[in-house]
Amino acid sequence: MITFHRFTLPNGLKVIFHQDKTTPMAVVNTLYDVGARDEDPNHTGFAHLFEHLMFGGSVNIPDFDAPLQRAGGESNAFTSNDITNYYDVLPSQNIETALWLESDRMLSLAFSDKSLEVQRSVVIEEFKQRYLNQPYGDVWLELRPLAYQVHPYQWATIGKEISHIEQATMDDVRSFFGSHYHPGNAILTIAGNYENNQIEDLVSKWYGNIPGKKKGARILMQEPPQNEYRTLTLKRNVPASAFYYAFKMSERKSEGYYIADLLSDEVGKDKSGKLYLSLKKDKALVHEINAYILGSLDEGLFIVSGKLMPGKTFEALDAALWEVLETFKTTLISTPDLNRLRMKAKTSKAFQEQGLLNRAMNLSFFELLGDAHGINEEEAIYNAIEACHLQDYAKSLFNPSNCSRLFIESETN
Amino acid sequence: MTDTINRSQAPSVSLSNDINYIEPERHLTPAGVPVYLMRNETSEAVKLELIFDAGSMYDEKPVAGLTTGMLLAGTADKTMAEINDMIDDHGGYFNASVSADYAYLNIFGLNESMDQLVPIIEEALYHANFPETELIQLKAERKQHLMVSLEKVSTLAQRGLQEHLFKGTPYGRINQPDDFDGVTRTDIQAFFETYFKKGLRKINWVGNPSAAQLDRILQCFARWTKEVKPLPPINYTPSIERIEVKKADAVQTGIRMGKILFDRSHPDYHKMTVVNTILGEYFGSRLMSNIREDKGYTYGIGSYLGENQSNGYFVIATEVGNEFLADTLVQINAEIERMRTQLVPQDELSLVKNYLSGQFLRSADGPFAMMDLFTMVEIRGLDYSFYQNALSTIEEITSEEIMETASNHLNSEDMLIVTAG
Repeated sequence: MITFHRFTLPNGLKVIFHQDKTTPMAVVNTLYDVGARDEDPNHTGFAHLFEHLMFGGSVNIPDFDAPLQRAGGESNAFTSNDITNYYDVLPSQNIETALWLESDRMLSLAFSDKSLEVQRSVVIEEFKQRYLNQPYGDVWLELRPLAYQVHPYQWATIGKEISHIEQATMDDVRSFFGSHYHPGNAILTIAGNYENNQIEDLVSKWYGNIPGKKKGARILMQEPPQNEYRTLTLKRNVPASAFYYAFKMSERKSEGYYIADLLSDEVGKDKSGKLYLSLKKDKALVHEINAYILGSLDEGLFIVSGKLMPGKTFEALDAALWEVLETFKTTLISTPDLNRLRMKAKTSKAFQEQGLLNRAMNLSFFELLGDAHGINEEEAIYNAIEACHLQDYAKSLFNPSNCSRLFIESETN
Repeated sequence: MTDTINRSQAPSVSLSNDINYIEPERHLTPAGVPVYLMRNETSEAVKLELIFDAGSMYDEKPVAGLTTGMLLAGTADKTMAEINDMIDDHGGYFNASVSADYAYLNIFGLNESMDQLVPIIEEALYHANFPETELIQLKAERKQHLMVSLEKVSTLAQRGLQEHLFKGTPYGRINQPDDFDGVTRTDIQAFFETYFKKGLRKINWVGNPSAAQLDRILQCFARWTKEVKPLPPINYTPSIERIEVKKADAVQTGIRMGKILFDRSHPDYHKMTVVNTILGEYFGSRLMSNIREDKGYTYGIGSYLGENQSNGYFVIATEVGNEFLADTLVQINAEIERMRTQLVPQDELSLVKNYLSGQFLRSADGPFAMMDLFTMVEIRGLDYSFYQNALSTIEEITSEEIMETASNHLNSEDMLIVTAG
C-alpha cells in the first residue's frame, strides 16, 4: 500500500506528496501531460527535443544542472509518445533547490539560441546513435507508420526524420512551451521525509504565483479500425533476419489493457511458454522470441518479435507462429498457468515499489490516468482476470486483420 | 507564505556526510561459505545473489558464459521447462550473468516463497546436466548475439580497448563468433564441477527471513564449497598506440581511450575519484560541457574508473558523428591537459564536492543499494571505512592536490586510443 496526500493549487497544479520517514533523500517528479502524440506531423521529435531544452536555463536561472549539483542533487528526464517526465533526486534538506529550479522552468524558459542550436545537434547525434547506427535501430521508424495510418503514434519520440529536428525554430519552441508547459498541464509528485503541511507550504511558495492557464483540449487523429493484414519486408545489412508482429490492443485505461498485459506474459513466457517451446525448442526456427506490450495511453501495440535461425524461412516461421497463437484462442490456459501469472505479477509489484523515485514516478503516472489510488488497485485487477478473459481477449487480438507484420531480411544470409 | 520570493537567488543548501552504512548480518553455510544478510524490513521483496569464482578469465574458450547460461537448463529427471514452471509456481524470477572475474545467479521473490523457491533452484543447479540440445541452441544464440553486437561501433571500440589494454592477460581475451563452436558439453561439465560446485564465493541476501527460514536456507547450500584459489598477480603490459577499427557505412565513430591505473586500495584512489568526476563522470563534467553541451558532437561522453580482481583502469568513452572525430580527440586531450596543468576553480570544486556528497547519499538508498555498496568493498577485501575515507578525502581535497593527482596519473601520451567507425 503506497500512501499519499493530494492537493491542487488555485493555478491548477496537481500535487501528490508521498511520505517516507526512512529516507534521507527527496524526490521531486514533474510529469507534463505532453508527448510525441501531441506533435504536428510536420514537426515531429519536438516533445523530446524540448525535453533537452528544459535543461538549458530558465527565465531567472541561467543553468539548470549546476545549482542542483551544488545541492548534492541529480536530475534527468524522459519523453514517451504520451508524456514528458522530469525528476530530481537530492538530499532531503535541500528540497527547496529542486522546487526553485522546477518552478522557474515551469514559469518560463530562457529560450537561448545557443541552447537550441546545440541541443538540435545533440538530438541528431542521439538519432544516429540509437536509430541509424545500430542493427535493427530503424525498426520502430518503420513499424509505427505501418500500424498507425493516422494516429500520431505513427512516429517515434525521436521523430520521423532528422530534418524535422534540423528545422525546429525558436518560434516553434516558444509556442510549444506556451501550449504544454503550465501548472494545469503538470502533476508534481514529491517524496521524502516531510509532513503534509510542510509540503503544502513549500509548493505554494514556489508554484503559487505561476499563472494558471486552461488545459488545452486534446484532439488527436483517431485511428480507424484496421480491418486488414499489413505486411512489409525490408532488406537490411543485419546478421539475422528479424520479425515483428504488432497487434492493436486496448488503451491504457481500459480493463482490456490488464488482460493484454497478462496475456503477453503467458505468450512470451521464456523457457516454458508455448511459443518458446514450439518455435525455438521443437522446430528450431528462431534464436529468440518475445511477447510484450507497449503500454500506450491510446490504443497500443501487442508485439511478438524475434530473430530467425540461419537457413530458416519467414514462411515457415509465419505458419508456425500463427498456429501457436491460434491455440490461445481455442484453449483455456490451465489453472496452474494462471496461478503462475498471478504469482509473478505479485512479485513484480513488490519490486516496482522499491525505491523512492519509482514510487514517485508511478504515483504521477496513475494520477495522470485519473487517480493516484490506482497504484494500489492493480493487484486486485490482475487477480480478477480469469482464463476465459485471456481466451476471449486472444480471440479478438490474434487476427491477421488486426496485425501489422514487419520482416527485416538479412542481406548477409 | 510570502508572495515575494526572489527567484534569482538560489535557496541556501547544506550537505551532510552522515550516511548510515548498515552492516549486514554475517552467517555461514554448513560448508563455510559466507552469507551476508541485509534486512529489508519495509517490503516483502527478496533478492538472493549467489557469487561464484567462475568468471570468463578461468577458461580460454567462452565456457564460463555458456555454463552460466545453462545453469537451470535441465537435470536428469527435469526439463528446463519443468524447472521454470516450478519457479513460476512460487512467483520467482532468476537471472544469471558472468563477468571476467565472477559468475552470478540472482534469485528474486517474496519472503513467503523463499522456503519453496530456494530448494527448487538449488536442486536444479546442483544436478544441472547441461543437455546437448540446449547447448547447441545456446551456442547458436550467443554466436548470433555477438554478431549483432559487432555491428555496433561502441562494441567494436570497447573490444579493441579490452584486447589492447589487457594484452597478454586473461582479461584481454575477446571472443569471436566462431569460438562458441569449439565448446563441448564436456568442457561445460568440467567447468561447472570446478568453478561452480567448488567455487561458491559468497551469498548476498536482501530479505527478512525468520530465524527458522534463515537456518533452512543456509542448510540448503551445504554441498557447495569455496575452494577456488586466488589468481597469481598479473603483470600488465598494455600497448600504447592508436588502434583504428574499420566499420563500413557507420555514421558515428566509437572512441575509447584508456590506461591501466590502480584499484581501490591505492592511496590516491579517492583523489582520483574527484579528478575523474570533474573530467567526465557527471552531467556537468568538463567532457560533457565541452563536447556535448558546447559543441553538440555527441549524445554522451564520459569517463570512469574500472576495476577487476587484479587491477584498476581508467577509460574515456563516447560515440560521435564521424565529421566530429578529429576535433573530439583534440578536445579530449585539451581537457586532460587542463586537468594536469591548471588549478580547478573554487566554484567548480565546491560544486563537485557537493555533487559527490549527494551521490554517496543517493547510492545508499534502501537495502538493495546498501547491499551493493557492501559487496563492492567486501569483494576487494575492504569495508565501509572505504566510503568514510572517500567522503573525508572529498571534503578536504584542494585544487592543488587535484592538479597533482591528475598530473601524476593522467597523461594523453600513455593512453591507448581506439576508434571504431
